[in-house]
Amino acid sequence: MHPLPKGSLLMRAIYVEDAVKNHPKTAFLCQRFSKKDIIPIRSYSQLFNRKRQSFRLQKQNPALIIAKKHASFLLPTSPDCMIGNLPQYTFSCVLNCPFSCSYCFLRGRYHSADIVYFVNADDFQNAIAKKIQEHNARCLFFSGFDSDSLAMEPILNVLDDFWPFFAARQDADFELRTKSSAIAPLLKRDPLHNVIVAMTLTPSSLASLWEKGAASTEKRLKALETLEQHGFSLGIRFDPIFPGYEKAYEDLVYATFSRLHLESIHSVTLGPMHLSKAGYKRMVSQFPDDRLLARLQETDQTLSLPEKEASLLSLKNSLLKIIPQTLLTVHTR
Amino acid sequence: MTYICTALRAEARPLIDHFKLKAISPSHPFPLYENAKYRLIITGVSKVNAALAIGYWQGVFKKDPYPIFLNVGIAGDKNADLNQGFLAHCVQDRSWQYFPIWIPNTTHPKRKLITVDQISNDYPEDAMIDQEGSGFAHAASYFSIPELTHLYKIISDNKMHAPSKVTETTLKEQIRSHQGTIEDILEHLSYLKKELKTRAHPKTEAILNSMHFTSTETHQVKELLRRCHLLDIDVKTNEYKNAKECIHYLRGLF
Repeated sequence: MHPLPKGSLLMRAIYVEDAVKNHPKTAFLCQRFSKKDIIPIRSYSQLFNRKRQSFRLQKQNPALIIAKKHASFLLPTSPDCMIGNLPQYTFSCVLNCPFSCSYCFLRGRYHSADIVYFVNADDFQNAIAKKIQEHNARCLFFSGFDSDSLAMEPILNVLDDFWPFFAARQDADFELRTKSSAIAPLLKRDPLHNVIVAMTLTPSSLASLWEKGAASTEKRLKALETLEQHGFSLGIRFDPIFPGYEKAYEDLVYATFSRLHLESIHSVTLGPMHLSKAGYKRMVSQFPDDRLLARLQETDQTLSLPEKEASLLSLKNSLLKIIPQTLLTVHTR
Repeated sequence: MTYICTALRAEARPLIDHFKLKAISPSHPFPLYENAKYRLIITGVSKVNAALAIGYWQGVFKKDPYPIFLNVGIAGDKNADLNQGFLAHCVQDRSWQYFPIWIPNTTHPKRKLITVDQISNDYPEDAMIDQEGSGFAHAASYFSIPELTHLYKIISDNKMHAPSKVTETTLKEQIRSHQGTIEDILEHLSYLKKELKTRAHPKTEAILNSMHFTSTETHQVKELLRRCHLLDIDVKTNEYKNAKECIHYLRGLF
């Protein structure tokens, strides 16, 4: 067992779906949180999907909901998030994240801030295997869409299921995306050439403002250095970027690539902040005093920060002074 | 506003005395008491009465988008000690379930609550029983959020102490002995409720009162002023003559 990360002891309660009450992961987590209220439920949707509840208050002390996923194990990756030309899919064993980033679309996606953990990893793995077979080609899978891929790892140990699986699947790539410096669960494993550890980077002054709970930029860089020393393949994600801070981004690009070697970099991506209109409305209803959200402007059916194009171009130019074009993907919306 | 709900007068009396609540005009179908912070309603026994009372109450008084609801009362439990107090973490009535969400400040013991039609000595193994909880929670769920809707139950009977032995005097004593905890719970819920408040632009009322706005326009103006306030954008009050011009002016500030 890893030491529990700071803040996790504040977890409000543990809810356990009847369908997984006898699952070994459930037993493991209930034992770990034996001092918490452990409450049986019929379905996670009884709590998670009810409309009248406060995401904002729950965020202070989320509960852990242990559940079983029954369908839709994989979703095609949005074109705004794709890297390269491989077929790409997202799977989410975990919904929600302990961090509280102002711009995070999860604030508008779910009614609840509680963290759902689907323990039936074998069903996800079967869906992944089937998808690779369907394509008869190499595929890329992401796990960091509905949660930070590493933030909950010291508690949930999701990698215990997926590391051996991807070790045996050389016809698939797997990206973990994170803003966490809790890399101990990775360091105890041998690196896999088909597993990419991708770190989202933001200038430190903005990270402390808008990425509450996430590791500081310095800690993220330090984590990347350590991972590189251990032979992991790294992804660098400047996503989202915030216009008006071009100098800070230029400094961050320099700091990042003066500490890492290009040989260990799988890919670098950059992209702007954008939200759907419906998601934005829900975010504002939960976080009406958020200054970053107040800056967003509507274009078509999405909201984004003004002057994003100039900012993307500036960062792209800074990057291309250091990295080859082949490593870079720019998402324009 | 905070709404406290009890089934019996004997449950209410210690709270009426403690919070110095005054009776509201006797024309209401349910006895009502209040002070500046709290309103208390005595619903009578049964889940139907509890739901009716909450519905009536909100029909008469509802102005607040997130009222606090606390049901205080007695419950039976096979194994719990007499006079122990629990917050309900789940309220169940046959197949219906409700999950109040306690955002913790301190650790209050929690237990499942099953609402039954008739009290008997036939207790479930791992839950309290009462006759009002599900009606209260079901009705309150239409008017507030589970973070601000709670049930605090004090054990009045168990396998060693039959429900028939509960008297008005012992019941009042039990509630009185939990007044401190009940007050702590109410204070904490008030604190959470304050966190849900949003900052309106100081000129909102002045602008909305200066000319006619439809309800859609009112919503748009409030939303634009909220953003102006957050971004420290100066808003003039004399640059427009009607609602359309006002909205056009405010949009132009971004």
